Amino acid sequence: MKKRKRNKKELILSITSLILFFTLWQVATYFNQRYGWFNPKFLPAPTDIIKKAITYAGDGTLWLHTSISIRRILIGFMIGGVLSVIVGMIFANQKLVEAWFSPIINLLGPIPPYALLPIIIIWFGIGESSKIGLIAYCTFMTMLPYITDGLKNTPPVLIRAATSLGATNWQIFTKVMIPNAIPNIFVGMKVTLAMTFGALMVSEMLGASKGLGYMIINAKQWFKMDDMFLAIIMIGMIYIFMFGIIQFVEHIVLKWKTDVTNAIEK
Amino acid sequence: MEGVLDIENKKAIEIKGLGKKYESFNDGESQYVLHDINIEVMENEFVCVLGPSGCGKSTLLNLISGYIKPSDGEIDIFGEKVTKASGRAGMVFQEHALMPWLTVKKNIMMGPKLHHKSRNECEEIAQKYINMVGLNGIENYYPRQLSGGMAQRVGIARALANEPKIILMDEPLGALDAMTRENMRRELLNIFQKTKITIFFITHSVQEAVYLADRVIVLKNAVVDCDVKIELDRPRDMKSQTFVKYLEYFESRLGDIPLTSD
Ligand SMILES: Nc1ncnc2c1ncn2[C@@H]1O[C@H](COP(=O)(O)OP(=O)(O)OP(=O)(O)O)[C@@H](O)[C@H]1O
Ligand SMILES: [Mg+2]
Repeated sequence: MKKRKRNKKELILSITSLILFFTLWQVATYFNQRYGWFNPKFLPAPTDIIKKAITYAGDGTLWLHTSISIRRILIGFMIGGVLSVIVGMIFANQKLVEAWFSPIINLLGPIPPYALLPIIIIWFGIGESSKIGLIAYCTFMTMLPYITDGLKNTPPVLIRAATSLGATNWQIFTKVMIPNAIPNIFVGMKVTLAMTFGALMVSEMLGASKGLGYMIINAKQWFKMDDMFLAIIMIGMIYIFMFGIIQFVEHIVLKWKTDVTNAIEK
Repeated sequence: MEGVLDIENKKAIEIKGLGKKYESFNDGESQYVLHDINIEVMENEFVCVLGPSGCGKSTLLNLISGYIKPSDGEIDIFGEKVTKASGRAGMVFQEHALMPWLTVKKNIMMGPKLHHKSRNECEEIAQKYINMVGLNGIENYYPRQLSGGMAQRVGIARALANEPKIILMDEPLGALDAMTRENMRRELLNIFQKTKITIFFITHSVQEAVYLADRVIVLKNAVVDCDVKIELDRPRDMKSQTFVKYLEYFESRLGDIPLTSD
């Protein structure tokens, strides 16, 4: 009960803060237009962006770019996520496999994945596969350590407990190690999401003809600041939406963990 | 021991010349936590182990379960050498070791489920042990919502629900209030007398040991200090003279300063 109240309070606060932000923005552009501090084209007013959004929503441009970006991010994130879970599981179980492959991953890990895009484009062309490939790669590389760590850091006493109840190795894996790793997997997903969006932007800015990243680059060419801000806001919204979904699922799946447990209740 | 063994009785646990050393953090030298331990536990025997904190009681249980390997000697369970961790003996952990993502009920159902019992059967078993340890009404709590004593009882119920032949219990009643403790002792004796279960029970309470056990073993300074059969009929009267004599005896053994380990 108390918790719900606090959530509500937080929600009101964040909404107020957003409203305040946009109002200030609007006011700033208004005064800029009047007193000409800098070229008004540099910073369009929120209302201009909304107008633009309505126009583009009407002629289908907005949906065209947004939908393709959503599609890329969803497919890339899924592929990378599933692969990292599979590989993480293999690593956690097969020390030898891990010993073989982790040096390679450790070598590739520190290289910003975006640096690889040109190579990927040359190898796989500028089609969808190279874009989704980069997104999946980013997701995979960022998420993998969270998964292996989560699986390996199972408290020994829990493994012992399952053993004492007669669990087989496979059952220990599925009934103890995986559930134990799930909180980590969610943390991993949330951290990874930012990387995934980065990959989306980069891949759409290089050799694409659709998508929100393309919209930004294209707008820059024609100095269409409204378009640029609109695309940026759309990206932000998709991000918030996806993050929200992950958090929502997390809240349900990790019911045993998510609510309560403040170190000190206030 | 004075070896009054029923001929038909099988040895449930046989510990032979068991030693376990750990490397000390300070000087890197290894030190025996347990040394030349010899204990036999018969089938359907209730053995309690007493000993000061840090004397190696939990270590002994971990060795019997096969979670850790002995430095010397060996352990047999029903005549078969322990070589790896297995579910041959049930275990109640000092630190409860409940699965934090499972509710009380699901924790208790874990054993039967691992053995692919039917849903109904699992439910039935779980309910039976929930009733037995008095956890009705909190079946759907998660471990973090439990008090220490509740968690302890879930741990006991979980181990019992798996209906093991041998159960190793590491201070299972330590966190309970006097009333609940009393009830749990009675329930435990009840199960013990009704089934052929073998119980190897660690406790800090001398009174509890004398009340419950067929035999009490005192562990001290890495060795078995004494191993004494309790010749009292059940239910035991804690105020009877013999009972008090046993108490005094064990208290004096525990109170002894080193060197007297014979
Ligand atoms: N993994 C380990 N490495 C080094 N020393 C250990 C390890 N585990 C236990 N010990 C040492 O072994 C000794 C016995 O520990 P153990 O947990 O068996 O004690 P205990 O008799 O169960 O004590 P308590 O009654 O407090 O639970 C302690 O001195 C402890 O420091
Ligand atoms: Mg202990």
